[in-house]
Formats: sequence, structure tokens, C-alpha cells
Amino acid sequence: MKQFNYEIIDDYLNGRLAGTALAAFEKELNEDSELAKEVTLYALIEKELKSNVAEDKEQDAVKTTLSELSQRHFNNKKATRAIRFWPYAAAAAAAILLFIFFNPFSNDKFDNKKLYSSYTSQLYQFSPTERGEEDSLILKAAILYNKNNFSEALPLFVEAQKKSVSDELKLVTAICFLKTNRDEEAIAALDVVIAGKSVYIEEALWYKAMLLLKQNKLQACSDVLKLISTDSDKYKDAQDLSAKIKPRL
Amino acid sequence: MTPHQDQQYIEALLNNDVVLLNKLYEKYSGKIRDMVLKNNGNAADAADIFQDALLDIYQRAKHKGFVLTCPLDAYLYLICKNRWINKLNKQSNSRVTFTDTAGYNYTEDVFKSAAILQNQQDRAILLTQKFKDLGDGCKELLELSWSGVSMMEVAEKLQNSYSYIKKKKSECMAKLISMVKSSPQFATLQW
Repeated sequence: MKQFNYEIIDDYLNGRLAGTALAAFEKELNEDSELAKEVTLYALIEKELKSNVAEDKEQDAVKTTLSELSQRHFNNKKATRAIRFWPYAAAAAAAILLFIFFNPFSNDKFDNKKLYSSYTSQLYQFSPTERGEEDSLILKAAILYNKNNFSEALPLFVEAQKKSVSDELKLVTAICFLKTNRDEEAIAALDVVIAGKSVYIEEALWYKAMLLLKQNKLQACSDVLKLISTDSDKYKDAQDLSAKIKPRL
Repeated sequence: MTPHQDQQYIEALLNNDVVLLNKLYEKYSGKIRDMVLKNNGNAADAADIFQDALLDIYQRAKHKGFVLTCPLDAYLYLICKNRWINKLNKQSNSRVTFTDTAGYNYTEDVFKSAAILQNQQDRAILLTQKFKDLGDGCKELLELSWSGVSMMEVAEKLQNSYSYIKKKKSECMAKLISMVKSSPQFATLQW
């Protein structure tokens, strides 16, 4: 079997060849059909697996929506049919499900990653007001962020913070770090907001709890949830999540 | 080619438009449900098949520039039908008898689009399987190199020299490509 120099193929596909080296490789590509096929295959494999890496981070929101719609459009019809023809069996099944759900010793309903996806399917909406040219970067980033395009918004937010810093900007940057699985940077940014005096403290506490939930650090998550004030929009969700976590501690 | 008017539902997937996605479920989930229920499945099977098909379409639209050029109902039904038949065949020792409940007259465009999606899905499954079989070092290096950072940054993160990391990546890719080419499915797929 023919051997190929994958290092030079990688250099070529990622734009690291130039000048005479590039010209020589392109000449070889034109003359060697096997090499050309191998380069096409290499590029396709990289593209496919690269989008797998991106996939995990970006499709959570869509997956959550589709799961909820599936529940509504498929499971509801099944339950209706069961009640019409099997009323006693349905009542017994419902009683068993209630027991499983509320049984504090039941270990099979809690899924930290599913809960994290569900609670972060709707994120803090960022609507900056453009005051001048220097804010256009923030506006571009905001559009990307509100479309859940966190990996593209993130470098723009980071760049914008070099010119002006606000706790709200830190918060949305932290959310971008969280959604692109850069957890250490997310925690660092959230802790700065939490230590401040702005109105964004409660949101930052919530997203810190979300990060800890994603990492399955349930005690730490519970401790952070307790800090969320009763005045906060997130208080009800915090209470709801605390109740779900409590049997697991 | 001009996008079909049902491209709006593909846009709804890309934008996570709950209102329009709900409409999609209202319009199209019933036929999938009927097809699965009449062919040895239950509502949960139908929900899974439908959701998986939509997620595949989402991935194709998001990362491969897919645009819908045929009616969504026939396309979606054909994808779900093919998936369900494959699943039944895997569970059974012999080829199952399938009852087609929708009675669509598929155009060539629908068949072609569904076949492309099936090929893409089969390719993705093969590549993901072979990637998982690589050693942890290769997996970590390749994932980092695909995460959008430069090879210089990859080398810094892995605390190795730039030249070593480039060489190591080429060795990992060589191993991955060799495993893919050696698989029985390789020759049956379009690359």
C-alpha cells in the first residue's frame, strides 16, 4: 500500500505551505491521482470529525426543544389512547410513575447533563445599546451570542473587554466560556461578577450553579443555589433544582 | 437549485424556532407515528426515529450547507422509513416485511437527498467508531487541533514542541485513516 506524508498533507490543507513548497505540492497533486484522492479523504475525515467536536456544544438547545416536542406530540397521544381503553391499567401505571418520581431512594431519574441542557436551553439575552463606534464590536458579538453562536461570539467579547469592561459583558463572556466547555475561564469570569456590586450577581450565581451541575459537583452546586436571593428571577428555578439535587447528596 | 418553500422548517431547526418546530411536529409526526406503529413499533420508537432524523438534518444544514429542494413530508418520511427498516432488520434474523402506510410518489430528488443523508450518517457513524478506537493521546491531540486553535497553541497546551505535535498529529491521522480504510464499510460508502 502506498505511503503518504500526512504531515505535509495537513500543512497543505491548513494553509501552512507557502512559496516553492506549496507550488511543489500542488504540482504533485496534479500529477498523482492517488495523492489527490488521499488528500480529499483526509480533508473529508477532518471536516466530519471537526463538526462532531462542534456538534456536542451547539446542538444541545435544539435537542432539548425536539425532546419536549416529542413528549407533547408522541407521548400525549399514547397516554390518551391508554386512558380511553385501559383506565385501570393507566391509573396503576401513573401511581407507579409517581412513586418512582417522588421516591427519595430512587436513583434512576436524575441526569445532571439533561438537567443542565434543560435549564440552559433559554439563556440570558444580551441587548446592548449602541452608543458609538466602539460598541459595534459588542453589537456584532451580541447578535452571534443571541443566536447561540458562542464560539464565534467569544473572541469578539474578549476583544471588546480590552476597550471597556462591564459586569454584564463579563457575564455574557462567562456564558460563552461555559457553552464552549472552557469551564475554568467561565468560573473565573463569573467569580469576578459575583464579587462585584452589580445587578448581575444573581445571574452569575445561577450560571456558576449550572457549571457545577454540568460537572456533577452537586454539593457545590447546591451551596451556590442557596446564595440566590428570593428577589431574583432565578430564585424559583434555584429552588426547583435544589429539590432535585437534595436526594442525591 | 432553488430552495423548496419547506426550507423554512430547516431554518427553524437552525434557529431553534420553537413555534415553527411545533408546527413541523403537528404536520409531519402523525405519518411517522402511523408508519412505526403499523410496523412493530410503539410511540416511543416513532418519537426517537423522528427526532434522530431531524437532528441529522440539522447537522447537515449546520455543517454541510444542506438546503431543502424537495417537499419535506416525503423526504422526512423516506428517511424515517429507511431508519426504521434498518432497525427492524438489525433486530430480526431475516429481512422484515414492511407495510408502507403513506403511499407517497417519491420524486428522484427525494430519493437522492435521502440517499445522501443516509450516506453521510453511515460515514459519520464509521468515523466516530474508529476515532473512539484511537488511544487517549491521539484523541486528545486531534480534538484540540479541531477546536479552532492553532497548532502552536495545541503544542503549548500539551506542553510539547510544535514540531513534535505536528508529527504526532500526522501519525494519529495515519492510524485513523488506516483503520477507516480497513473497515468493511469503507468500500460501500461515498467519500
